[in-house]
Amino acid sequence: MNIQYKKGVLELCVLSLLAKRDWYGYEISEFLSQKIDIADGTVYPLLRKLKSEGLVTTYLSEASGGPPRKYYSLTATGRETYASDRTDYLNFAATVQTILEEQET
Amino acid sequence: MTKQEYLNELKSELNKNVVADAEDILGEYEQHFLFKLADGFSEEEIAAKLGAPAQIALQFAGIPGEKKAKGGKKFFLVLWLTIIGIFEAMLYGAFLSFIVALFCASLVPAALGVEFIAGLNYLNILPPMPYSGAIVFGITLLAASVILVVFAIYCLAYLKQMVRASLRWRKNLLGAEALPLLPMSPQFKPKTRRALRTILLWAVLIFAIGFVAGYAILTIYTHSFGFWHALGWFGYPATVY
Repeated sequence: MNIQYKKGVLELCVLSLLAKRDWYGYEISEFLSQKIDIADGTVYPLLRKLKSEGLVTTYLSEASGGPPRKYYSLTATGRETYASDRTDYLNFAATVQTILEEQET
Repeated sequence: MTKQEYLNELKSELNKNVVADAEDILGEYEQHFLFKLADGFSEEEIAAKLGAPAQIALQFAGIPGEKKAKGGKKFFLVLWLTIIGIFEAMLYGAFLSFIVALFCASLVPAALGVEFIAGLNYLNILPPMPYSGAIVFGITLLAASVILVVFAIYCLAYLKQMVRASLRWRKNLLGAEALPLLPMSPQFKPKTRRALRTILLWAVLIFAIGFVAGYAILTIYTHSFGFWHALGWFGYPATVY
């Protein structure tokens, strides 16, 4: 599958995960790289970008054994952005699907 | 590529792209290695799955760094924290003295209680009364001592937690990454908290029952609600004992 498709929706996937609960970076990277064929290292720049845009914040949490984990959490702006981007994407995807299926038959 | 080779190359690529907070980013990738190694992957496998350092560094390029208090701003922050710190230290000092006083104060009823129960009158400080009343009041005084000790332990835990919360808050203001703020109230382990609560409940119960029972015993013994008159306390002439 074309890498450009994946990169575009990866951000939306990360927001979707964070909308459910707080995740730490490695967890997100593991989860997404198991479902979508991407390089493991791609998620960290994405998280940093989301943070610099103010969509997520980070906090450290002491884990039993090992260094403190950096957790990512959606901000209020992040939640709004996710809600509207999600609707946009679902509409877009539905339209694309309709077009593609019409062409096939 | 080994872990060290990968991190070195990533570092030089990040510098080439003038990426902000390079140390922070490298830390995150190092943690990735550690998590994966713990899952049983080899360093080479992990490096291969991460993607080429040059590619990664390119994705970081152009993302602005995090804002941090720097230079003059930081100087005023430190100055301000120092001024607050002086007042905080005074508060903590006063609180600590109070706690020490509480511990000392708990020794007084303990000593008196032991004297009553043992039937001693060391230093001749106990008022005269029959032993049936003395043993009940002795137990009551021991319970009072326990109440004071539990209160002092609670205060000490409070002080400790206040100092910890204050230090954490300072560290957050000065450091790059925020750790969660700590609550000010004492944080006991559930087991300790239950034990303290049980001890306190029993002490209060024993104190209350002992006080009423002691009063009743002496009232019956002297046939007087103001038994201290009959027993000759506070300089009254004794009529019973």
